Order: sequence, then C-alpha cells, then structure tokens
Amino acid sequence: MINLKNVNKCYGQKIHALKDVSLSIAPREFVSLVGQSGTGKSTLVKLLIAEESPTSGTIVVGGWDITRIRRIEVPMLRRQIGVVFQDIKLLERKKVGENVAFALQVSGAPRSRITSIVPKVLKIVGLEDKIERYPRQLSGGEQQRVALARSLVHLPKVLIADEPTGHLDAPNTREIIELLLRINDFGTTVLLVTHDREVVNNLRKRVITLDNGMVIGDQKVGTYIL
Amino acid sequence: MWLVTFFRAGGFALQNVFRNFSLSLVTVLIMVVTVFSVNIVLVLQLLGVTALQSVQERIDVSLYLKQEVDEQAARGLQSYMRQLAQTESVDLLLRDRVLAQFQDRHAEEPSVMQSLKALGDNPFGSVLIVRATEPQFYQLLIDTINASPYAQLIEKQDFEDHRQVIGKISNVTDRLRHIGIGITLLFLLITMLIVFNTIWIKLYTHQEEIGIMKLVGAGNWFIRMPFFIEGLIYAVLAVAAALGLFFSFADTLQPYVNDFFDGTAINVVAYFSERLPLLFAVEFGGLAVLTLIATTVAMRRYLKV
Ligand SMILES: Nc1ncnc2c1ncn2[C@@H]1O[C@H](COP(=O)(O)OP(=O)(O)OP(=O)(O)O)[C@@H](O)[C@H]1O
Ligand SMILES: [Mg+2]
Repeated sequence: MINLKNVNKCYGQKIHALKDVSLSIAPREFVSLVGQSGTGKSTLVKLLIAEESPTSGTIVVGGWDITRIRRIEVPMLRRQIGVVFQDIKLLERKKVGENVAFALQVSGAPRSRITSIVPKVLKIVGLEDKIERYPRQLSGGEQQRVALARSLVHLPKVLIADEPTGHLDAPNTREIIELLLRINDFGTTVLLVTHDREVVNNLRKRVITLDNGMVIGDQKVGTYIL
Repeated sequence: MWLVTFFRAGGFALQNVFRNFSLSLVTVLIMVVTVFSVNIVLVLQLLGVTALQSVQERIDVSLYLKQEVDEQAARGLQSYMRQLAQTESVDLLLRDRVLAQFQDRHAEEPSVMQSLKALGDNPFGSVLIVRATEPQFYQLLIDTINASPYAQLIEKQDFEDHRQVIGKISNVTDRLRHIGIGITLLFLLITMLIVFNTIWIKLYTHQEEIGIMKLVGAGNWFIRMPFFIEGLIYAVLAVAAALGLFFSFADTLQPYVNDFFDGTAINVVAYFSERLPLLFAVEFGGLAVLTLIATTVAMRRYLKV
C-alpha cells in the first residue's frame, strides 16, 4: 500500500531530515512509526500526502507513484489518504459537524452524501451528540476524535495519524488507539506515528523505528526500542 | 458537481464578505466612487452633445425679401431653395405675417406703433428662414443664392455665424470630458489597488483555513473561487449603489438642465433609465474584469496553490 525507496529529504542545505529511507507497508497492515522528537516522522507523513516533495528516491501510495506528482493531482491523493495531524488542524470558527463536513464539501461531494456520512463518522468516534459544538468547547481528546472523524469521511484506504495521542492522558489515549484498531479492522491500512512507549508495547503490532532520519528497526511484533 | 462547488464557494464568499466587514465596506465604497465618476463622465458627454445640438438647431439664415416681391415670387424662391441638397427646411413668412408678428411683439410700445402707422402701408417684405443640414453649409447656400437670378429679390440676408460658439462649446465639453476620464482612470487604479489589498488581507487572515482546506483535499479552484465570487459580490453591490446614487443625483440635476437649455431640454433620468440594463451590464462587467485581475494577481503572489 505504501512503498518508499531510498527516500531522502533535505530542508535547505543543512537539514537532512530523512536519510535513505526504504520501507514497505502492505494493505490492511497496522504499523507504528516511532522515534524521538525531530527524527523526521512528520516529514515522512508530509511526503506521503505530497505536502513536501522528496529530495530523492521514490514514493508509491496505493500503486500511484507520487514522487513527482502534479500539483492538480494533489487533492486527489489527499482524498484517498485520511490524515490526523499532529496539531489537529480544526477550524475554530466552524462547529464539529461543519469541520467534518468541510472535508467533503471541498471535494465537491453532493449534499446527500454529506448528510449521510457526517453523522456516521461522528458516531464511530463517539461524538454524535456534540455535532453542534465548537472545537474550543471540546476536550483535547474530543478534538482529536473530531480530527479522526474528519479523516474518515472519504472512507480512505490509508489512515495516517501523526501523534494523535501526544497531548492526551492515558484513558483518552487508550480510546483513540482502540478507534484506530477498529478502523484497521474495517480494512484500512493504519500508520500510527507516536513516541508513546506504552502504546507501542501494548499494541503488539509492527513497529518501524526512525532515528536521526534513518530506519534503525523494523519488527513484525515490535516494542519500543529507543 | 461543478454547480455544487460553485454554490458552496458562493457560500464561503458570502461568509468572507461579512467576516471582515469594514474592509468589505471600504472596497465597495471605492468601487461606488469609481462607477459614479464614470457616470458623471457619461452625463457630461450627454450634456455636451445636447448643447451642441441645441445651438446647431438654432442656426438659420433669414432672407429678407424686397417689399415689392409678391407671394408667387416668394414661393418660387422657396421651392428653389428647397430643392437644394444642403437645405434642411425653408420656411416662408409672408409680409402680412411679418407685420402681424411685429405688431404683436410691440403692442405695448405706443411710440413704435406710432411710427409704424406713420409709414402708412405694410413696410415689411416677406422673410425666408433657411436651415441647412449641416452648419458648415450655410456659407455655400448663401453663395449659391447670391449667384442665382433670385438674388435680386433679396433685400438683405442675416446670417449670424455660430461657428465660434460651437467651437467654444466643444472645447469646454472636451476639456470636461478629459478631466472626467482622467479622474475616472485614477479611481480605477485606486480601485485595483484597494481590491488587491483587500484580497491580500483576506488571504492572509485565511491562511490557516486555506492550509487546512488544502490538507483535506480541496482543489485549487475550490480555494480560489470564493475569492473571485467575493470580488463579484462587491462589484454587484457597488454598481447597484452607484447607479442608485447616480439617479438621485440626476434627478436633482434635472431642473438646472432644464434652465440651461430652456425648454428644449433633455431628460437625463429618462435617458439613462432607458439604457439602464446596458449601463449596468457594462459597468458591472468592467468592474468584474478589474476585480478578477486584481484577485488573480494577489493570489499569484500570496497563495501558493
Ligand atoms: N519546513 C521545515 N523547514 C526546515 N526544517 C524543517 C521543516 N520541517 C521540519 N524540519 C526539521 O526536520 C527535522 C525533522 O522534523 P520532523 O517534524 O519530521 O520531526 P518529528 O520526528 O515529527 O518530531 P516530533 O516528534 O517532535 O514531531 C527537524 O530537525 C526539524 O527541525
Ligand atoms: Mg512530528
């Protein structure tokens, strides 16, 4: 589903964020990507949704070589990948329901589809009763779940969650992880970026470890090794 | 799907209009000023043309025939004049009518009436009033008559040369029009800058939102369209407001126009009312093109989509 081959990413002359990264993720897999702060995890996510382009190497997502993706094709790519961003990225001026609907509106989905999908994804994350609230009226965990709901509206084949539990306490973290596992059970490939030792150790799924921009570990049933 | 996108973008555009309302207001105001000044130029143009016409209509040559010329001879001259290509109209005032008119005009002046009586019989000859199709033909007409056998019937010809007046009027209206066009161009430039600035500020304040739109899969057009539609909304509002303002201005102006052209006046409001759809379409179209250009430039520079 996701294939990276000898990918390098440099920001300017000095910062070499990813160094010769090669990895392959099969459909329906649940993979944790771990590593310390600043090792290039988010950079990898940005490459996968063409927010940044690689300095060298090739990137294939769902059979589509996006290494030199054309600008007008980028929206198409992003509608096929669900992303939960590290900094959540909800629109403060829109209600929960509108935030979720927004992702469908911008892609030109008909109203009927929006009114049927939005309550469904909010139900999956357990927020169907908070549809009329504004983001600031929600807890951190709830906001993260709204972002998760939004990432699901296109029924993506791949879901990427960049530290979705970064600022959450243990119960909220568990809830989010359980949701991700459920989504994975539906058949969605999940890439979870985290540096939460406990989460990774409890999952008992594949773990890819990044350090200083390089892949230093890839275990089938992994633990947090740093 | 395209239509859905359009209406959705329209919705976002409306939100944008109200979100930074004072900025929107300033933008519309400068557009109103611009459209209004365009309309003023049009009025100046109209009044200039009307003034010229009304002067041209008043030009004529009066041929005073000798007292002894009888009606038949006078009519002969009239029909001769009529068949000349350069004449618009040739009116004959027979000597009895001329006398009657003179008596009417001076009825209140006993001394004049006295001296008229002292002259005995009707002292007037018939008069031919000749209008040419174009002002520049008068000299030609006069020369033609003088060269013809009819010349001996004529006592005196009275041709006031209005060319100087006409020249003066064209000069003034031309100059007013140039000033008006200059001011309008200036306003157009200012409008362009203001629209550019407005869109830039809006892009800046929407940065985060635009970023999120892109990240959740919005296409270029979906991001751009609300800004274009926003510009078009400003243009519609501005043209409507400017025309409203303009018509009430024209209404106030009308009595002065009537005075100036005493009676032969043109109705400014009616003139522009008749052409309202065209006026609206052209002015909205112009403003729309202008905002689209300013928006495109602003987005080229500040929106990396
Ligand atoms: N836009 C950018 N311009 C320049 N340098 C950048 C940019 N984005 C990231 N970097 C640098 O690239 C490196 C990797 O950053 P990245 O965000 O991928 O780290 P991360 O693994 O996600 O860290 P964290 O766990 O703190 O989120 C860091 O040194 C960072 O400073
Ligand atoms: Mg990160």
